[in-house]
Amino acid sequence: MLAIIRSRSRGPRPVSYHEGVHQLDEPDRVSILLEYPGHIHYLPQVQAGASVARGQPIGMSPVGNLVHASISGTVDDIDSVWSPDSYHVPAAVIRNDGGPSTDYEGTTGGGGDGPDWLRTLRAAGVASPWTLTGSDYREQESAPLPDIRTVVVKGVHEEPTIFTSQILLRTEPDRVRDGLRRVAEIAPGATIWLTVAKADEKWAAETFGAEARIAVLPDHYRGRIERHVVPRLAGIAIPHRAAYTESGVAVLPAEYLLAMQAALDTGQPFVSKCVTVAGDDLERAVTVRYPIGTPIRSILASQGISMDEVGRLLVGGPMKGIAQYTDRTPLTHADGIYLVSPDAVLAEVNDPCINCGRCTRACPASIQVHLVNRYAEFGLFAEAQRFHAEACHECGLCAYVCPSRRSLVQLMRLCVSEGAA
Amino acid sequence: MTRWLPQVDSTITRKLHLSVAMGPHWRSGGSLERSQGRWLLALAPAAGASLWYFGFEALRVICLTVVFSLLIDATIERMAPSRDRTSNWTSVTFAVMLALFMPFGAPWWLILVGALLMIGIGKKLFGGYGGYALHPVLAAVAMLELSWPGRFDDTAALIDFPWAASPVEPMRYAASVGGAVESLYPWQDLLLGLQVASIGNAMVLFLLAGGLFLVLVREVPWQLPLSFVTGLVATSLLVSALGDPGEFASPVFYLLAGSVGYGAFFFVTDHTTSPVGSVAMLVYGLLAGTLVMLIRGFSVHHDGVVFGILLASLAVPLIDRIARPVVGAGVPS
Repeated sequence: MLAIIRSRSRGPRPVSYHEGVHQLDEPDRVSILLEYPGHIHYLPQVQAGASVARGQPIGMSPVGNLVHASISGTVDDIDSVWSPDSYHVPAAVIRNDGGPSTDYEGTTGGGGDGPDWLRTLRAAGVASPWTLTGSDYREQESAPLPDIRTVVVKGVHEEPTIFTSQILLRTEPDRVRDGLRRVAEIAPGATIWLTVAKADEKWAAETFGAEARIAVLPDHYRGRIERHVVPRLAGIAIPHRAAYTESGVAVLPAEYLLAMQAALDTGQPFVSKCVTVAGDDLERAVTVRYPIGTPIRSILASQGISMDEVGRLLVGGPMKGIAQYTDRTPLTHADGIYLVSPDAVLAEVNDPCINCGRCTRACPASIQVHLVNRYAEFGLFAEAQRFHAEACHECGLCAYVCPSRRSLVQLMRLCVSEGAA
Repeated sequence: MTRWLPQVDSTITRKLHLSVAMGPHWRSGGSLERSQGRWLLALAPAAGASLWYFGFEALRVICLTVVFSLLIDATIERMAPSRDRTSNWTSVTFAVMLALFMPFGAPWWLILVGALLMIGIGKKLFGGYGGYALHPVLAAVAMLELSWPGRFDDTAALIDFPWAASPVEPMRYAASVGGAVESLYPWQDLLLGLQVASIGNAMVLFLLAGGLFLVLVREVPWQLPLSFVTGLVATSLLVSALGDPGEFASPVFYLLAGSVGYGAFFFVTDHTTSPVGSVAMLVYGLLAGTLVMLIRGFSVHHDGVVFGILLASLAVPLIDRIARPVVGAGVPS
């Protein structure tokens, strides 16, 4: 009876989590992806059989961005693997041969043209200046440096199960402050925003108030969606399909701010990253630092999680995460893993649309989802275009509230791709 | 792919059963069944009051309507399968809603025809739950009322019922005596459902309790009942001000007499036939409330709720054009 009465409409709220970062041991092997389709690709700098040290460049992009070995070992192969975004892409597979773990000492090269700081960042593998997550980054765009007027540093992740940024702000406030100062040097005159969780409001204002303007985000998912927070902070409208940089806005997660800081101050390459592991059966989310390219199974094994208890494996969070076919997928730029227990895996019901309009009222972009969904269902994509399906950035709130449990995000995506064709 | 797999790893042979789908992977937990459960729960006080007042007779009407509706739904579902499954409980909810609109002592064939009109024409013909432009229950009631005015006469049906209340429908009486009608119907009686009506459509207090439940659990948006009531009250004040003194009763009488409460919480709020946006919902509610009052004051149909809401529903595609501009529209050049 209680289940009939309960209602949640603003999306999920954060789960509880362990403070602190758990350092992962070096795994047996890592796969360093050499291509992120649509974003960047690297040409291999090493051959199969070569011995590499941690931090040694193994790939370089046409403009001089480097990608590094994240562990010491032997390059087993240049092979193709499934990326967490479900692309089949080339990767350098490095086997941990049990030897001593050494840091690379040689010269790195790379960097391409541009100011010193940019060449340093490229050589450290912190991709390009205003990119970093990859979602917004097209390598060719970096040729003329964009004029950045607003920088948004994400100190809180939109997904309610990912805490990497929150934890890093707490554990390394000095480096975050240095990073913010670095950003101010790189983008003089730009307004720098730092988003923080509600619980951290007072502390963040005291700690980072001098370096950045603090934006407090609410606990519910709806108030944290990046594509809505960023235009609000920047004070301008940004089309959802456009890159932020086109509007003079740069968005970087706190973790990349730290990577930039490390690269600029110590020349340290970007070879390890944090990920929050959360799940239906996990009491609290755990954050782990892993060498880039570590297979998901190694990360789960380090936490004593057996794949037998997992029904669906997501890279990302429960709202936008991408379901994986296998636990061998190497993790590269993901901030989160979410494990759905087998009994919590939802079947797609796809009952008929009852026109209740909850999707439209939930949509942060004010798209008339109920109409787009009906048109798309009957193949009337041209009609559906009138309702601006292209503004959808797949936050998932429409499907979250849908009582018919329709695959609304798929329908929106179908509509966008059909409309573009 | 196989070449880069670890050579010695027994876990390779184990088969993973990972389910793959597109996000979001969390849902709010809503379903059609749960939604219908809420509606049935909200109808329970009124149905209970009806059983209290009318006893076995109310039970007979409700049970017959539910059984007929389910049989018709299942039969049509068998002949023309659709995604509107019989098991999604909509037929049960609709049947209870229709039953509360039935006159006391409705014969079985009237109920059967009503169920046929509601499920067959009102719902299934338009593609099932969610596909219709007019509420199936209201459409069925309207068709019955127009086809069998003698049988669908609440005053006649209750003429022999041992009943403390005045033996005429309040709205029918108001049509002939005007504002003087108020003195004959104490508001407490109207509120408690002690007024001549069908077996459940005027159990105002009990419908209000169910309706508030629906609003509180956010099954229905508050904008719809509120704007409907506002539209009705505003129009009644307007016609009173414009008309002769004593021609119209006070707004309280119009709110409590007949099926306004039923319409406000159970029919104006229907998911399918109401608009989607917040402003659009307010416009729709105001329009429906205004139409109901106009029909009550100036037409041969004394209750007006059924026809008022049906007419307003026809305007919904137009009203739905009131929508906020899309944020983040536009394709980068």
